[in-house]
Amino acid sequence: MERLLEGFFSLEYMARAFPGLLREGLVNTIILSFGAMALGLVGGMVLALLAISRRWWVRLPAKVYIDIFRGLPAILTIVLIGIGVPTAGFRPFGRNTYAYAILALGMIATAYIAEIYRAGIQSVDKGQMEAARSVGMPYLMAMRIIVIPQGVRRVFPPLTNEFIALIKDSSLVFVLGLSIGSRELFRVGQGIVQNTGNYSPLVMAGLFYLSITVPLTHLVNLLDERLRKGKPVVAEELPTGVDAPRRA
Amino acid sequence: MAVPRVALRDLHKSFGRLEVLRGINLEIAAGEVVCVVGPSGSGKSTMLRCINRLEEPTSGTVEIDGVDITARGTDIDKVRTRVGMVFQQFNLFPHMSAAKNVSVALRKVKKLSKSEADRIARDRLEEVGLAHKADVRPARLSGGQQQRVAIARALAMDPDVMLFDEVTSALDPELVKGVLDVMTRLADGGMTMVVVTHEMGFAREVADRLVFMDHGAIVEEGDPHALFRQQRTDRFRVFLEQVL
Repeated sequence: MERLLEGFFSLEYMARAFPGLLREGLVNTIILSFGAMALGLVGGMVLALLAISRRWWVRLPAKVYIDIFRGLPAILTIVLIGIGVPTAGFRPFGRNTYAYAILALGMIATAYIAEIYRAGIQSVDKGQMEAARSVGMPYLMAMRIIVIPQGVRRVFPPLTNEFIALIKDSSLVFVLGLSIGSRELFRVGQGIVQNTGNYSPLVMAGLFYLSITVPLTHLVNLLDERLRKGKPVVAEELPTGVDAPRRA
Repeated sequence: MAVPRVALRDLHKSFGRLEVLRGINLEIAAGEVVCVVGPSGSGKSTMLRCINRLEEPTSGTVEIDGVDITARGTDIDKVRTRVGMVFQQFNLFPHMSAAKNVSVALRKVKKLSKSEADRIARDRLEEVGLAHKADVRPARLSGGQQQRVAIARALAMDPDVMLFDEVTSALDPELVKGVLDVMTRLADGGMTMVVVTHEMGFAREVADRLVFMDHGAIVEEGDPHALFRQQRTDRFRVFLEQVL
């Protein structure tokens, strides 16, 4: 029992790992997940708009993209994009492995977020689009200032969930072998474990993850509840059970 | 005769194999108020929605001031700024104040300055008696107030024609009059109006012409007072007996 405590919860090892986890690991985890989320929010919107087109040949590529990147294990995508693509000679970011890591995570996020947006947009009553068109707004303008603002508000909870998933998945970029200084939480923790044989640094890394993800999870619940109860501003029925994909 | 403001010529519309409109011919003069009545499923809403092409006709044409707006290359967004529409479910933008609901298209579509758009929005809300609700979101308004804001929103574009699609059907009975009063004033002011309605009193008193539709066709049309006194067809007579 004592060995177990010592092996996983050694305060000494935790304290020693703390500065590195904070300065290198946490910073990189945040950069990776924020960067990927930013890509996902933009790419996801473009893809969502394509996916709801009335023309099948506009819809098709979006649907195929979404199916592929939701259907593949994240780690496979990360290796393909992070190692495969540059090795094959396509190097938009030179040898900057970090950039490929963000791209890979962003491409995965794009697929999930596209589905979240699509669900949100399609939950907006079609009378909104008709009213906007009837005063002369072109389709994309009506989408931008009438439909999307309403749809996005409704999918705030699943978007936050996606962000949480992304923070956790960012640990997978360790497979790319990022150099010292650009490692994220998991890899920093694991590095110390490999040198010392003591698992406390990884437990410490876990605490770092939890310190981000747990508050976010509760934020989701709070948002969900407020949407469900309906603030006076948006009192008409809000389908909070918007059918959004959740990652396991 | 002058060119009609709106002309529907041999208009057909099918949803799949369901024929909703079977050859509608209707000319509406500038300043005329036409009320369209008929049983549900008779195609009256579909006909109305063809006038601004929220529904695309399967065949036939819609002309506004003699110009075929179903023609290839028509800038439908531009046409729609001249054809106001009010819906049964109001369809106000819930994330915007009443004033913003009215001014948003002035800003974004007509590219007016903020001050000018705000001024027009205020004036239009004043006309429908809701200037004091300018800063309120739709959810805080009654159905009747929402519908009057929706009318103000359509009027703000300064349209040549106004289309009303059963605009009082979703309202509590005590709120209907306020909306009909606004529409009556509009009619008296010379607006060209096509009104799909179940309000027979309004049709009798305000309409210049009454159109009775059934099964996707115009069955009778003419002076409302005369038509309410005497119907040519059994179908219209039976319909009136049911609704009056």
